[in-house]
Amino acid sequence: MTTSRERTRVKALRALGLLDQPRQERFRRIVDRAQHQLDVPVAYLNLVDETRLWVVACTGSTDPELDRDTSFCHFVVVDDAPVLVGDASTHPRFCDNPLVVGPPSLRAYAGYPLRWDGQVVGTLCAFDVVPRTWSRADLEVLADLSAWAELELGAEEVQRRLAAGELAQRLTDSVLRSAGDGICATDGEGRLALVNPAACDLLAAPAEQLLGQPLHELLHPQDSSCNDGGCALGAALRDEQVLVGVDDAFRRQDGEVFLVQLSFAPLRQDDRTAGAVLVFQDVSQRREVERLKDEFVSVVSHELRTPLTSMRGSLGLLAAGVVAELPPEAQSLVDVALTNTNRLSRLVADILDLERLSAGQMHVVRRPHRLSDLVALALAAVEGVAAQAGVRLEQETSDDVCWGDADRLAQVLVNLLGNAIHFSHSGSAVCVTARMQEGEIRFEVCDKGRGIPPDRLEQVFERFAQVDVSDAREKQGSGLGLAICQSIVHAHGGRIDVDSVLGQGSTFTVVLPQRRPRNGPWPGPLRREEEE
Amino acid sequence: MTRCVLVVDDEPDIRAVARLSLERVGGMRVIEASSGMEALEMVAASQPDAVLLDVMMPLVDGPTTYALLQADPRTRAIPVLLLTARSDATERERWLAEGVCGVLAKPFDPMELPRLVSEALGWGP
Repeated sequence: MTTSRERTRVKALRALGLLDQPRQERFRRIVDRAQHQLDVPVAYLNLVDETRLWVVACTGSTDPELDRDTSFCHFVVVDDAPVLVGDASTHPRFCDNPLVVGPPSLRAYAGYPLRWDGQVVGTLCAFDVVPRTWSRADLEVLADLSAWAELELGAEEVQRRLAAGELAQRLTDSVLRSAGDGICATDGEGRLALVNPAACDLLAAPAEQLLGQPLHELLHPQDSSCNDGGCALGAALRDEQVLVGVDDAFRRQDGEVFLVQLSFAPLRQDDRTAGAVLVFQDVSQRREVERLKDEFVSVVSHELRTPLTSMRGSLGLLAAGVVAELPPEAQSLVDVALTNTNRLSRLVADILDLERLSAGQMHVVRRPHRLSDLVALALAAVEGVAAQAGVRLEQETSDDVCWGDADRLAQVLVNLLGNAIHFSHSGSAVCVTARMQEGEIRFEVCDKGRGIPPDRLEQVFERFAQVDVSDAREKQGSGLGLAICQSIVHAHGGRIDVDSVLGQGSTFTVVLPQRRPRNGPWPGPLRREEEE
Repeated sequence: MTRCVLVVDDEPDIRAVARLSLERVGGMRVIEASSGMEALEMVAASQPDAVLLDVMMPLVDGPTTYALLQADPRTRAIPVLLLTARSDATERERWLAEGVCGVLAKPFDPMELPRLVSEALGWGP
């Protein structure tokens, strides 16, 4: 039966790579020395696997291997200790042994365990055909030679491990050299022990100048906020905390301060601080881009909403009859203008939200709506445009209920219908269908317009995508419409897709789950603040 | 007694709409200023019951005007509402924390504006 201890032992033995290998002179010298110093006719250096003794070297014998069961060395392995036998013929363990009762009629045996990785992997042993008394000096000789044998046994494996270590080191060096982020490591005293080239570039100093300097003082020189507890890096160094993606400002050696995002991890070894690793990247440019984008959104927001405010206000006062009562036809026109001004206001909000996509998530107000109502809402908004373009609007809807944000879903349909009308020829029809199918709500907007080339289908939902560069000018589209649609559909947990045949028309399909999934989060990256 | 509201906006169209809304719908009295600096003078001189202050104005913007009103003992006690075309939630929180009575969004519904102003200022109906 193979015990786990034996398996561990054999694993260590096999790691040496010496079983079944040709004999080597370096081992021969050890057994020669044993034979000579112990004055015995036979000495062996064996590796002991599950069933046999593999003879690595021997004197006075030519056996390539021996049977483990009948061997004396087996007991050295089992006992995990030296075995000394003065006269095997009278020894209770060995008196029946075939090597004792038959040729070569062994009498005296001394075996010493050879260890590798804490396991007994073999023996160094000496035999005699006459009884003898092993002295303390004999045992010491055996011990010394065994120590030598262990060094020789492990030599190749040590070389292999060193080579593997060197390879790993070279890989690490290569990663450090090629990394775009600055990487530093400190010793237990918080002094720089390693810097990669990117760190040298970012800190504007050669490695020789940086190494050995205290990390915190190097990056935050004379920074008063470090003393009043406002310094995350200082606190992390002091209290051995992990930092991930923390914003900070470092000082270059030329005095310039730059914005960084850093991660920091202390290294502990044997319950004490062995150092720390700091990884950082220069985010000055990224922050500047973000600032410019915020500024852009802010300015656009103001420029769009200022005229909208005047329009919305004027129409609102007119429609409510605050100034004067309007004739019915005028009232109806003002109402239409007001409704569409409101829609335009919402669209402006959506565009600005889309610009802030990275900031958070869109919240949709989910209520039950009849599909026919949603379609009617959307069709009413595009009737004028369709009439102007000479495009016929057709619909096929049901009274099935869809859970969602009516404004947002109508906005999706208005967008899709608007596109369909824009790209349809005068006299053709645009058809919108809404129905429940296989437990899902399915909207389709189908036109017989010019279609989309197959190689552009993938990109139509990307922001500022235009099938043709002249589209934006000719059709006055922003290139944001389908991106907004996709964001809204995703926020409803649905998907949007397009099929198109060039020259024959396109069909946009929106599929939504029929009901709000219980406890299910709504995927989608758009956040909308309450307004109005 | 009729409340007096100072409407501060660099856009005359918006001042006109706000005036109509507050006067005709809300029954308030409206005086106007077209810049932050003008607002500072008028608040000190006319002591209105409240100031409806646009955020994005050239030279002295709304938040700066508010800070200057707060710094002057003659105008410190007069409540201020900001009116903004921006929709940054953190900005809004900050202004409220700095003590403005409310932040109203542009575009606004002129039929609702007087009610929103009254509510923010704790004026009874």
